[in-house]
Amino acid sequence: MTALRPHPIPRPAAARAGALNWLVSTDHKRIGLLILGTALVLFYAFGALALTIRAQLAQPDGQVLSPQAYNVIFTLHGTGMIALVVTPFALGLGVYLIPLQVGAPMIAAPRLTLLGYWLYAGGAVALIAAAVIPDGAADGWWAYTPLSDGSYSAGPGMDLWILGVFLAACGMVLLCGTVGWTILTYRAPGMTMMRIPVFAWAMLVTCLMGVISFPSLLSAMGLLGAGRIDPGLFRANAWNVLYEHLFWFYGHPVVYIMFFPFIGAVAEVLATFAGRRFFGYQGTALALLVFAALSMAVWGHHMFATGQVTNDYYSLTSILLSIPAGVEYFGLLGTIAGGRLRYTTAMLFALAFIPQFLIGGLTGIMVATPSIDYNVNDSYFVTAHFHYTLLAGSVFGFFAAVYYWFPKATGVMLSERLGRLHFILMAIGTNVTFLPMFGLGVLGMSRRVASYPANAGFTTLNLVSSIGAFILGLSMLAFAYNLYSSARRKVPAPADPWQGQTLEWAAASPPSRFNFGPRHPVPLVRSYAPLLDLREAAARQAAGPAGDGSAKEADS
Amino acid sequence: MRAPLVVAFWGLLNGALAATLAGFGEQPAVLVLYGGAAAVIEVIAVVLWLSQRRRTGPPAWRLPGPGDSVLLLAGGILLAGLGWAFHWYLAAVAVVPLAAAVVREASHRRQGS
Repeated sequence: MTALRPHPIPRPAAARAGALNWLVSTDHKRIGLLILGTALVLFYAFGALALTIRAQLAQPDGQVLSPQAYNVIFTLHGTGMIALVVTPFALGLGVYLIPLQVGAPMIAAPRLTLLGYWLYAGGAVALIAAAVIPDGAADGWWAYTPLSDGSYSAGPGMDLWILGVFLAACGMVLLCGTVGWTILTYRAPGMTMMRIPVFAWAMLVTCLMGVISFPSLLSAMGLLGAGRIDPGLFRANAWNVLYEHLFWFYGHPVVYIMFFPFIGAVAEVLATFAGRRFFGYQGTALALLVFAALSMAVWGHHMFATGQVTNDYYSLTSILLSIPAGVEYFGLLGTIAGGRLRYTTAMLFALAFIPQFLIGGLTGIMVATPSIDYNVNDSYFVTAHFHYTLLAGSVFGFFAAVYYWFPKATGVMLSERLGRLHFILMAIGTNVTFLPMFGLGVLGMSRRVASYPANAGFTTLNLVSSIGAFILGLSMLAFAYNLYSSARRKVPAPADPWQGQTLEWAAASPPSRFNFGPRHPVPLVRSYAPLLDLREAAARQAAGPAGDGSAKEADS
Repeated sequence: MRAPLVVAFWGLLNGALAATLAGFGEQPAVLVLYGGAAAVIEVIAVVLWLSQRRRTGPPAWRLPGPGDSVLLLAGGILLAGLGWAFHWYLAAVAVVPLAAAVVREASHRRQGS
């Protein structure tokens, strides 16, 4: 596409202060921070639920929770982390960063974006209400039928769960639409599709997946709602299978929606702190597109055990995913190979993402093989696999992004010392919690069981896992304290504290209402790393006979 | 690579995968689901292409209207949904924020014009 020509932007108006102005603001940066802030608060809440689960399972015959309360808690933990935390983390980053990265003064359809946030917030209210009322929703994050129909899950808990998921999904599809449209049509002059940052590519494919997978979830919720009005519906098995298809047509791509943006964020962090251009840009962009297309074609591997899907196809497409994934890993590793690495907190999280996410990915290939899946299906092996993908992978990528872009968003630096403490505790806690779960799965411990007998042979690994979970909890306290102390100390952040490569680092910290202006213009875009181009040009000119005066010229 | 082509290419990849799935003998409902999704992506590519063809000059950035009517709309939708979960009278209550959202929106548009 031809990039947008120079355009007049609206006259900047001073951003109004006050809580209400934040809540109704159409500034993409405020909406992005609202999404990220809400998701972070919920992350702590649902993380506390995970600690309750681990307290229950730390010992055999656990009595911390009743079986019903346990079911309610793991349902809210699972649904909440997916629909209300990690997906909004991913899209919230996009809402905040994408207009800045493509050099646009605003996001496409700002009020639709705001509506997306408020529908998501409404969904959060409904989902939490679904858990706290008597007979709360207790059917897991997928709510399989007929367990979740009106016959087996009477009461409003499940209805509220459906409402919550429906509203949150509506919000997410709106966010995908506006972020994707911004990338496709709002780019600055000179920024062709092959010059958008890697993070923007990752967000684009995320949004494409979102706009076609979330409607499938909405259809599934509609079907589930119909089944609650007429429980007889799910007596015909075809509807049960259809529900699973609709659910997993969303349920698998959403895993990719939950990690693609973080691959993009990790790519940006690695390139910046290696002081190099991202390696294999074109190959990675193509790999992202192929990866995303394949990821839409693998949902049936969640249904191997139903006997209702063509195993060969879904197994084949799932294993094919390792090819584009390998290209992306090649890009990430090629970027740091031979670079002069700076080990900031963001870089540490990005580096840890690489092996940890690899464990999640490789075990994903394993469970996408029917013969293995039949053995470990519904066991703790699967729990370990997806926590390696989403926590050890995505959440590490998220924290890499937080430590990297926090100074840009707030104008304040986070403490690196506390950040390192956060990283060390989180890396230890994550691996101590989830590595033993692979063993538990192989030993035969089922997911979603509220307790286990002492002679089952699960005791030691469960205790180790629970200790790891509490270390993970400590790491989150370190992060919370870092936010608090940094907000108090207010060490000011310059516009570009890390020597970034993409356009957002040309804006002020925090950026003005319309991102760029006379004091912080959009620089000339000649590649996917325009700020690195400027620095290199300045260095060349400074080294040349023209002397140092030309460097200043290039910078302007 | 132009933006509509990127989207169309991605839709085609999905279409090819759906066609392969048909070759494996998957159920028709599943093919409709996946094929329909690929078709939606192609529609988006066409809309994007048309949108860019119609653009004759640089885009004129417009300040978006205030977001208070959006908040009221979302509140109304939540209340209507709660009506489905609990009792229909909540859906009736939802009329209030929805109507307020319409009034606010009309007022903003009048002021803007």
